Amino acid sequence: MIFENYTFEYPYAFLILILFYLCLKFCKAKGISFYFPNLALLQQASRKSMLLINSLKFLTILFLIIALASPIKEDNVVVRNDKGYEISLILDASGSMQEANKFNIVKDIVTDFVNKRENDRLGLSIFADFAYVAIPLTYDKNSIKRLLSKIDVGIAGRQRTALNEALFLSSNLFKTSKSKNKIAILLTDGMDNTNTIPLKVAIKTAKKYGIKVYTIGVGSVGDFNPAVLKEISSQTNAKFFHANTIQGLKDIYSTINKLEKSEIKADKYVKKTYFYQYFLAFALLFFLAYFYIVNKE
Amino acid sequence: MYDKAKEITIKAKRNIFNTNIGSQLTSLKGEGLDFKEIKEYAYGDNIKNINWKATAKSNDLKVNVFDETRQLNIIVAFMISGSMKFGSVKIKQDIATEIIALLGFSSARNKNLLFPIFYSNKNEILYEPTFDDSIIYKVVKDALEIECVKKDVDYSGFCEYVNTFMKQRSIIFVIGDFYGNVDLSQISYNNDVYALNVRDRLEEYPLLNGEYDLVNPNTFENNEFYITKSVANKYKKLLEEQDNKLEEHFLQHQITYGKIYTDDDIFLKLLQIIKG
Repeated sequence: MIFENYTFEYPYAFLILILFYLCLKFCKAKGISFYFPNLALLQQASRKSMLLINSLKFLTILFLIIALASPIKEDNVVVRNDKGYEISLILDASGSMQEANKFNIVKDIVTDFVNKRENDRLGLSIFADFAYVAIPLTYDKNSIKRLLSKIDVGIAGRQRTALNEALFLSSNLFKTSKSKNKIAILLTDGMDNTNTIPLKVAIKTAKKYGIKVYTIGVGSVGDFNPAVLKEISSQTNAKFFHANTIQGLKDIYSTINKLEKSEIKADKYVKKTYFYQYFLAFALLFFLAYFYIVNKE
Repeated sequence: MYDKAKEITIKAKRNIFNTNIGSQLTSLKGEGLDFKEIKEYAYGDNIKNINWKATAKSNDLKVNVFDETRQLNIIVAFMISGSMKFGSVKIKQDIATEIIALLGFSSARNKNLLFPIFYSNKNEILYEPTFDDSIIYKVVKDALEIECVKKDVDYSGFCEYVNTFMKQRSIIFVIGDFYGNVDLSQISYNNDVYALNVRDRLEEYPLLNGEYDLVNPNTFENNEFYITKSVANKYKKLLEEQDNKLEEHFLQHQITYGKIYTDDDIFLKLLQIIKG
């Protein structure tokens, strides 16, 4: 529907309409009052102009009241960034993730997770041969989901796993962040083998910005290095998870979702577009027309 | 009020005694001595009046027609409705009173029998038929003082009333403003009827310009009106249509009709209307 987002800011203003009617009935202006013969004929003669004048009067009042009720178009947009969570999703897109359709399963689960974090800013980083930030922190869930559906294994190369670099890069996303709750969720099925950035530096960067880095190891223990992942998570006051089933992975994300429960809902900022000025303008027009007709001769 | 009644009386008397109206206000046919014409016999004519010479000449029954010279019955009916309490120059009720005074005194002077009737939807005040100046004076006073507001005229009721109490042929002056459903046909067949329409210029063309709370004097309902020039013009046009219909009705039933405005010279206007 077109008018779905249209609403009135102060709908109680419409009560004035009742007041107007009551006033019209009971508190008439004491004008000049006298007898006039053959009033029925005069009524007939003045019906049209009375209709015009009265409808102009009514329209003026109506539009003024509409303007007072302040018609707005509401768009739900969250802009306040000092209280909500900021979550950076770091996904391993190395060649090994293609095995057993792992990457697609991860994508589905992450999409689901994105849907659940309604009021948070999310970012997305991908790593394989190198790491890159696919989407910086944003409230725009739709573009994250759209991008998630498009990325695939091999998008950042296939051979290696730039885990430390990814952590480092995505930590840097929080550089300008004012949020108190900064979270990174790092999902991998391998070990860092690029040596571009030392692990220590990566962890230090994460700690510097106060980011809790949840780490998730996918697959069997030999594939990834639990010690490194544990190290990362414990150093940043977060947790390490490990899953080798789809359900397990789902559980991990829902656990994280629960652990970092977003409490803020009232901080939703509603973007309002005001329309009262048009009604005000029309009310003014009607009023002028009313004046013109009444004072015409 | 007392002074006003006196003033009206004096004015009416002066008008009547200074002007020779003639002893006859009408040309009713009757059983007088003055021969008027010969006409064909019709059912109901008095066989005494058959003109045998004329009958023999034409082989048709002919009767003589004589002018009425008897004492006339003059009914002066004041139709009382709220709308009479209106006027820009003078109140319509006052004008009606002046007419009543003129008619009353002139009928008294001519030794005709006056039947004053004040009628709204019922007979308001009962009067004996009179020649007497003092009673006419009282009638004039009553006409000035009677409360018009909240009353409406029932014309057919009036006709019935007249027909029941008046069996003789008479001259009937109906004084009012003739709004609404006017039908005087019931009394027009047997009588000589004069409809005297008392109007004000303002009520025919209410160029008031502005917002007014107007009260219907007949019912006391009030409404707000914005009266502009176009409304006034439209009203004037509608009223003219209404009055044309009224005139047509009077013409059809051979009722003499005249309009007297509140700013007219009433005596001259009345003469004009009565003499045709």
